[in-house]
Amino acid sequence: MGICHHDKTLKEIVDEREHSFQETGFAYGLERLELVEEDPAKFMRFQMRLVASCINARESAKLISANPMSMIQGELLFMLANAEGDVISASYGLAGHIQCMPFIVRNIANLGFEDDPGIHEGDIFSCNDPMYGPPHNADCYTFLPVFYKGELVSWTVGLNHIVDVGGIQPGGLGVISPNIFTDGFTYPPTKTGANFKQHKWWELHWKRRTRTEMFNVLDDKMRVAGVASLHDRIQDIVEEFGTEYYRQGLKEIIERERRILVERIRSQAIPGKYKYLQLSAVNYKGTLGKLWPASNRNWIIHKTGELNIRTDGTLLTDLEGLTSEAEFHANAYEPAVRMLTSLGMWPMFAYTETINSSLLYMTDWNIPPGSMFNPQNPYAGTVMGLGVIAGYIYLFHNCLSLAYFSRGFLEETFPADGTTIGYGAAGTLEDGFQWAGGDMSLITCQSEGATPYHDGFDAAVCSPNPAADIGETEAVEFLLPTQVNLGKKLIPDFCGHGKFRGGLGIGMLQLVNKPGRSLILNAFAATDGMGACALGRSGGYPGTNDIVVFAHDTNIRETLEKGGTYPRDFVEMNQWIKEGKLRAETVESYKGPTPSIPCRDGDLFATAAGSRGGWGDVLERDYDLIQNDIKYGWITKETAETVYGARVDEEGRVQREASDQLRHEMRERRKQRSVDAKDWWIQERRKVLKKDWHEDIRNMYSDCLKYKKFRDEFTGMWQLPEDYNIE
Amino acid sequence: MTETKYIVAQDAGGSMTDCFLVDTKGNFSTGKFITHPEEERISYLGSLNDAAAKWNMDTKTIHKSAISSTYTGTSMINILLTQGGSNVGLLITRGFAHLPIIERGLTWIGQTYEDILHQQLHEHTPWLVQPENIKEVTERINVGSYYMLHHSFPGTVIIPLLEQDVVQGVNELLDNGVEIISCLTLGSYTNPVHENRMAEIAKEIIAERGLETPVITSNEMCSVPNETERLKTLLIQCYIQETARRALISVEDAAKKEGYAYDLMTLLGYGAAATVRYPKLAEAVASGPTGGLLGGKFISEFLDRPNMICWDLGCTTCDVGLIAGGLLPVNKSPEFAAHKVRMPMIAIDCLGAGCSHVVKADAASGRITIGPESVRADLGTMYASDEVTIGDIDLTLGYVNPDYFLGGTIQVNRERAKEELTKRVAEPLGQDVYDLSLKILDLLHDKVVNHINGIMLSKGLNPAEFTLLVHGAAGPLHLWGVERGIHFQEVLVVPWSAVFSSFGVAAADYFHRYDKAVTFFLTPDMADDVKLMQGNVLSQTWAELEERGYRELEEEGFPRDQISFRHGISCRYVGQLSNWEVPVEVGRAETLEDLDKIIHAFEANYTNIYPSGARYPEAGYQITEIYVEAAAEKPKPAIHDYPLQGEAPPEKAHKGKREAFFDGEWIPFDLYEQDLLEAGNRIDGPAIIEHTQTTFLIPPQNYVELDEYKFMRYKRK
Repeated sequence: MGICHHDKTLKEIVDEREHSFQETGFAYGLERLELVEEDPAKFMRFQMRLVASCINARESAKLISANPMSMIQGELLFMLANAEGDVISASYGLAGHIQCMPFIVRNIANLGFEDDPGIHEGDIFSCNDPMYGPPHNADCYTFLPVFYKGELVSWTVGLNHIVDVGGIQPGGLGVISPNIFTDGFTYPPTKTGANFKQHKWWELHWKRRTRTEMFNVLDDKMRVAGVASLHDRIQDIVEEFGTEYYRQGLKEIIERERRILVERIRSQAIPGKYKYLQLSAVNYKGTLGKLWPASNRNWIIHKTGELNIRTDGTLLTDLEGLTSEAEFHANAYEPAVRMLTSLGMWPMFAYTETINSSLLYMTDWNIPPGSMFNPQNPYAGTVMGLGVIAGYIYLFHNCLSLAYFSRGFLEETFPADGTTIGYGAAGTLEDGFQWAGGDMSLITCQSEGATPYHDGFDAAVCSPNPAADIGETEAVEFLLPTQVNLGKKLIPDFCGHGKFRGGLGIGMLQLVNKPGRSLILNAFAATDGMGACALGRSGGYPGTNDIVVFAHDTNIRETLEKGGTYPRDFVEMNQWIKEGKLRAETVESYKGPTPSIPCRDGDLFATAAGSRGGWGDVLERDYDLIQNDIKYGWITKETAETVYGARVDEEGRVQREASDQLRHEMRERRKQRSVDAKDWWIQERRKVLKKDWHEDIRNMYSDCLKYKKFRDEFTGMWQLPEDYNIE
Repeated sequence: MTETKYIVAQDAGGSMTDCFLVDTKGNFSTGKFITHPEEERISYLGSLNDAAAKWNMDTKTIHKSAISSTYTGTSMINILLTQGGSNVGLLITRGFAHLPIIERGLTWIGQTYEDILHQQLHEHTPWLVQPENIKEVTERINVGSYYMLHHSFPGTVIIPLLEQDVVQGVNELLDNGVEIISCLTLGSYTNPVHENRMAEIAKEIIAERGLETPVITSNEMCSVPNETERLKTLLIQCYIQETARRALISVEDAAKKEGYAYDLMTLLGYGAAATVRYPKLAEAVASGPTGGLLGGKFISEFLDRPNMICWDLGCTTCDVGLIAGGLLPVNKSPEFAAHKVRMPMIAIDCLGAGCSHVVKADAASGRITIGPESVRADLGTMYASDEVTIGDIDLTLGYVNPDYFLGGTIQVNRERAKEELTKRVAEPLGQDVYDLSLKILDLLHDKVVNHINGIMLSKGLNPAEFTLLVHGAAGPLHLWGVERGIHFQEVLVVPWSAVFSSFGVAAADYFHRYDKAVTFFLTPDMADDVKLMQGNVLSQTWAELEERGYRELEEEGFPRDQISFRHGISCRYVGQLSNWEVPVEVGRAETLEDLDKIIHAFEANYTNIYPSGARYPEAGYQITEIYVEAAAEKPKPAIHDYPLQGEAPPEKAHKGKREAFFDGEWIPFDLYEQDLLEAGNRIDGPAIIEHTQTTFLIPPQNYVELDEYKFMRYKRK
């Protein structure tokens, strides 16, 4: 006898949920929405009640937290799921997580949790193991069953991104981890509490398995407080509306929302196949010594994707051709893919009054087994697969932008790409005190790409969280005592240029102050140094790369003592070093993730989140816009001239006639440089036949050619012999 | 016989300026006049004239015998909305010049959930300072750290101030013609030395150049952490202060010309009255909705009801505020016109669901939405708008008298309202217009109910211990729906509920509030002398703030012996990022016992809100901020009592009957004229009590009793 409606088991109702959709094409087989049709106003009232409950749970519980990522930067979500696991409504916060809960419930149903360890009123369950649903182990899920008169009617769920997961690198965004054993503290679904209270042993795990115990303990308390209060509110709602209405109402919400989303795609997009590709690098060679021989290499990650917009408004994303699983940190499972990529769907078509898992019913995925997002090795490292998946957020932004643009919806086009950078820090202070922390300021706020009719806004949006928030430097410094910010600013010229340009990239520069006995910093950067930077549109230039620069053993302290000043961003720092205005014994630059870098007092550490692409030809940019950019310092005169073909006088005014002439010359030079497409194809084909590439690229192609679809397209494009292969 | 004295209070909203005029015996009159944002003295005099005329008096007579006049205007918000503020200059820590442009990336403040998700439409607020008027200054001060004594002490200078940067910056700003200079350094709340020195240098240069440009530092405005919020507050102050003060002084001039003998007062966001010469005038910027809650506070004290929920429903407002244990909760980082600022403001939640909010239906999905658009004074299809509104529904259902709208001064069209409602909302959904209308009202009421429940839940409070006070032009009309959703201890409507906010303005206390960030940790393993040393610092800081209060209030004309103080702290467990504000009995921490009492005040408040599992005393306690409120006496309105008459209302008050659609059927409602009802009367539902400014609906299941103050107590039969 099960705990669900009609004494069914959890597994039975989850199976029914899946079968009914497969058979009918409607969520829960709901061809008619009876409750909605009978009384739409009552139904709205019901739905609003659920949403308000989730929002209230978050707004009160979040205050308990010590974690700036939850408090200020929004990596915190409370949600309500039905017994089957579909998320019905959620609070403000990192919306994508609603995609994961159905997988978690599916997994605990398969595992027979109903019998052992049992699912009872007041039980607390915890999970952060990506194999069972959460996207990576920094995202910790806490959930409670909600019973009404003995029937499991719902789950209340809370999750947040914790500061440190106890992996081999400090923080929650490690970029080196050959397998699950180095990922850090990873727990599969576990019953960690009863009677709405966590067991004592659970707190000990946080204290012994992670570096930032105090943050993590308070976060756990926060999640429990939130899910427990939400639990009580939900029981009140079931009491008020009745179990039948509640159970049926939750299902109708999913089906109704599914219909709304499908309709948006049908009415705004041109159906068809839209291709997308990003490349990024994972560099392990020489990093791990002899411990993990299979990890002693570099990878170029081939992030290919094809968005199929079907005429019925549903979407199929095909990842065939994606790099295979490997012994690195970047593997992931389907829930993580669905979770993170949905962040590209909210702004493009899934914005509604409430967020819910209806997306699951209109988005299909083909993720080939053995690829890095469908690993067959149970011990695959997954601590930062999200860093690679993030590229696919922008598949939706960019492919749907094209599909909307083609149909004339200019306001809805939102070209975007990953331009986010964060870092972790850990150290031992002078008195032997150990600490760790991280900073996500440049992950939670970005500048926007250009649109067909205006420049991208500066520091205005955030890909991972709809409510952008760069946070407060004073609050971040309070938690990272060794990092003194000397600048947090927009960087001139640091954008994708075009008739309309992208917003400017944002940079930070920090002075390492009294690190004591040791300090290591490790940064994570989304553009990954190469093929992942934002593309321009309609002739606009691509965006810029993310940048990380370490300047070690500098003379900045001396300079400041003598009454000098400091550089404010990486551009200025590099310039000063070049001019001899600043001395640094060594300078390390990265355009992607860094290993753990030891730092000393007086070192400078600069990061910059790249910017997104421009729209339209730079030579068509209005002179008035250029003049404004000069006035405000957004672009330099040099850029105005060399990029935009605008000659600017001493007062910052554009000389129009001289500029017209310059633009004419630039257009002529373009013509001279251009090559016939056929000639270009012939030249490139020779390279393909000779297989004359860098080892990492050869490895990439060798891997991808194992997948038929990629192989057909590649050999077709270059008209290669059938037995073409790369060893 | 002593001469009658008057108290004047006005609340200028976006469309109407309300006036509450009360004499020292408690007789009151109310007035309304269309707001003139460009020349507020016109609406000030107009509204006062409307109230005075009901006593057959003129504004001059009132002004000559007025002992106080308090005016909250719209000038501040208008300056922001029309971008008509001062040309501001900013001196800021080098490397942070773009702080005002980045504005923390908060481009979504005040939006609905759906709009927040729809990121491509997010935009920043217009600049309060032009980029060319931002000058950087080399310096850095350490903010201290969570790891306390293991690392640098808060306020340590890491990079000394480079004075030549300041000199150059100030000169450039003055060359650019800025009208005011603001200064902000990172970490100035831990040590203002650089900020103050910047201001000093700026003032010297200004004097040398023979100018009078004002200079303001962020630590004067709000000496508390979070640089973006501090900067916003500073910039708003600089941007609006001169223009706003001019507007208020022109209102004062108008009053003085008629013989008013005192300073005009205005209302600050934390609920205090202050003269229009108060230096930190920006604190008045978000005072709009506070009037109602101050009125609530007055009633709560008058009736000895320390727990009260105040709900204001008007054309464009739907505000909910809370008084718990006699205290008004303060929000320290309120959001205002898409800005997030750092100034104390009485916590009020604006729900965006007034009677002029637009109702829409989507046939395809069966969805119904209320707002966020509002047609404001156009009311709805019944009057001057083409959009269907909640007001149209009220009229269609027979709740509102089309011939007595605003006392009959406005003629509204019930037929058109019903037609449009049917055509645009009911028919697309295939629903009966009356049935659906009732359910849409349920949606509105439920929004308020959900919200009140949310406030209660987040503070661990029980509605059954609270009085609901309803006001606003439409509050009494919709009270029934909210009361059905939550069981309160009692429910109250005052006779002047339509102008209740201006009454609240009259009832405001005169005080100034000072907040200051402090460094104070109390951990379990800490030695007593360290605790006491830190306690001394707290005591000193309180004493400094008291001194500032004495100084400013003395300048405003209050002798020391008439000034009293209230104290409080913001506290948390070490590591947490949020603070909980609690008042403390005494503003001194000289013994371990004093410290225990202070911590106990925090613990008592925290465990009220959260389950005990959320406590974390092992981590220790951190006091992050303290405050002092320095208060002085100010005339306040009195409330009149009346001899109790019988339960039966007088014949002349009964105006007849009207059919209204309620609970799924047409029922005849008895109609009464509110002003003709007497203390002691009982009105049984179904009844509608009409007034020139509002309508009160009483369902068949309820009745209303008028007490000795003619307060209407709404009860279940």
